[in-house]
Amino acid sequence: MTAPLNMTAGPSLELDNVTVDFPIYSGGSRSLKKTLVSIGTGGRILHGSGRVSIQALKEVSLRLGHGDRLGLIGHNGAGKTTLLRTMAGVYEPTTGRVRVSGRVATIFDFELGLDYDATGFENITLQGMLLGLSRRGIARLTDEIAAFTDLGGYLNMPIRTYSAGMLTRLAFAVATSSDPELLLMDEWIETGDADFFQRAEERLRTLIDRAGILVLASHNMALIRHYCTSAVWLEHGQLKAIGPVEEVIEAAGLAESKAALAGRQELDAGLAEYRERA
Amino acid sequence: MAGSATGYQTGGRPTTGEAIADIRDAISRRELWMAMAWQDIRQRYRGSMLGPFWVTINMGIMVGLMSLIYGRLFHTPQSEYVPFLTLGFLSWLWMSNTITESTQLFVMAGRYIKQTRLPITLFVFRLLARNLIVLAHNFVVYIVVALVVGLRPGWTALLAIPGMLITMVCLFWIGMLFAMLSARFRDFPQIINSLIQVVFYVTPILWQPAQLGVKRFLIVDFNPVYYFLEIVRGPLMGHLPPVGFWKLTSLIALAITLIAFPVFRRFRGRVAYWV
Repeated sequence: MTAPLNMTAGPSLELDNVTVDFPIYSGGSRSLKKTLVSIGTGGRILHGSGRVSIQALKEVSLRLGHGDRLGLIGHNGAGKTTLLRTMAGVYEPTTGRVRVSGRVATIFDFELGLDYDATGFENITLQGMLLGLSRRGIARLTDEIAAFTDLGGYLNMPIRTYSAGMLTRLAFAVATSSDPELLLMDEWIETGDADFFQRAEERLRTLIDRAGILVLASHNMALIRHYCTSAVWLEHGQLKAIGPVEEVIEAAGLAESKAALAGRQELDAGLAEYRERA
Repeated sequence: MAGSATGYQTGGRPTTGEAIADIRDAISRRELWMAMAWQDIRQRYRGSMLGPFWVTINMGIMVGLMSLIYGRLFHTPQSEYVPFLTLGFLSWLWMSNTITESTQLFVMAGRYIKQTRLPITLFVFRLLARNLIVLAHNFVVYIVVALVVGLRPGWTALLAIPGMLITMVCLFWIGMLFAMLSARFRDFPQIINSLIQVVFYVTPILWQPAQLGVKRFLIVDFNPVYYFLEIVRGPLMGHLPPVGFWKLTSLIALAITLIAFPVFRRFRGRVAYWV
C-alpha cells in the first residue's frame, strides 16, 4: 500500500508476514479425559491426535496509512473475514505480527449481540459501550441515534417486537455512531427500504470520510468500487493481487458479473435520485 | 454488533505485559461489564413481576424447608441452626454458581469474542459482578433470619468483607482457568459439575463440623472450601474464625493466582480460536 512515511501522524495498520492457522479439533482432542489418557499413555491410545490445522491466512503482508481505502475481494472461504478479524485483533496470528495504531471500529455482523428482550434504548446503551463509549458519551449521542432510526416510541419497547427493517436501522445507527480512525467492515446491509438505504449511505459516507483508514470486505464489486481506492484479492488465504481497484477486480476475474453489475447500477441510480432530491 | 479497540499489537510470544494490559483494559471498561452483568440478571428474570427478587424468595423457601427438616434431624436449636444454614447456603451458592457458570463463560460469549477485540478478563469480571448481585439479593434472607432469631453479630460482621475479597481473588482465577479449559475441552464442564455436587455434601453447609465427632479432621480439615465458608460465614454469625483461617485462605488464593496466571498469559490469545 501507499505507506505514509510520516508514521507519527494518523492511524496505521501493518501486517507483517501474518499466518493464521485454525486448529481442527477432531476425535478426542476436544476431550480432556481422552487427552489426559493420551498423555498418560504416551499418545498410544488416542490415534490421530496429531494437531491438524487449516491455514486460513498465509504470509500476508500489508501496510495501510492515513487515506487508504482498501477493498478485500475473493470467493467465500478465501480468508476475507479471517483477515478482517486478524486486523481487528480478534485472532492473534500464529506467526507474523499485526501492528495497529489509532482507534479501531469493527462493523462485521452488526445485528449480532443485540438483546432482543431489552428495549431499543437499552440496546443503544449496551451496543454503545461495546463501541467503547462511556455512559455519558452515549447519553450525548442517544438523541442523534434515536433521530436517525426514526423509531420514535418503539425505542421504549423490547426489540423483539421490531421488524427486520427496524432492527437494521437501530443496529446500523449505533454501529455508525462512533468516530473511529480505522474502520473495518464486513459486507453490507441489504435490508431496509429505499429511503433508509439512502440515509444509511449518507451516514456511512460521513463515517468513512472521517476515518483515516477503511478496510471493506465484500462480494459486491459495486460497493468496492464505490468506497475503495485500492483492493487486494485473496485466494486460499494468500494475497493474489494488490493494487488499484479495477486492476485487482480484473485480475480476480470478478469484473462485472451480472449480479454485481445490477447491484452497481441500482446503487448508482439510487444515488443519482438521492442527489437530485437533496 | 460493532466494537472498538485502540492501538494494539498481536503476534509474537505472549508476554506478561499483554496479560496485565488485558486486566487493566477490563477494569477501565467496568461500565460495560457491569451493564452486561445487570443485563444477565434481567434476562434471567424478565417477565416475572418480582424480577431478581425471585432469587431471594427461592432462597427463603429453600432455607425455611431445609431448616425444618435438617434442624429436626440434627437436633440443633433452630435459633442457631437457621442462621448457620442460611449463611452457609448462600455463601456456597455464591461460590459454586460462580464456578459452575465459569465453564460456560467464554463459549457463551463466543459471539462477542469473535466480533471485536475485547479483553477476555472482561467476561470474568462480568461473571463475578453477576454473582455478587445475586449474592446481594440472597443476603436479604440472612437479614430477615438474623432479625427473627435475634442474631446480633455487631461490628464483627464487617470482617466478612476481607473474607469475601480473598474468596473473590480465588473465584477470579478459578473462573478464568475453568472458562479457558471449558472452551478448549468440551467435556470439562461435566467434570466440574459432578465435582461440585460431591463437594456440597462433604462440606459443612447442612451439618456442623462438631456433629462429625472425632472423625471430623479427615473430611473438614482437609477441605479448603470449609475455610472459605468460615471466613465469610463466621463473622456474620458473630464469631471470628481463627487467624490461621485467613492466612490459609490467603495462601490458597496466592497459589491459585500463581497457577492460573501463566496459563492465562500463554493461552489468552487462543481463546478466540476455541470458542
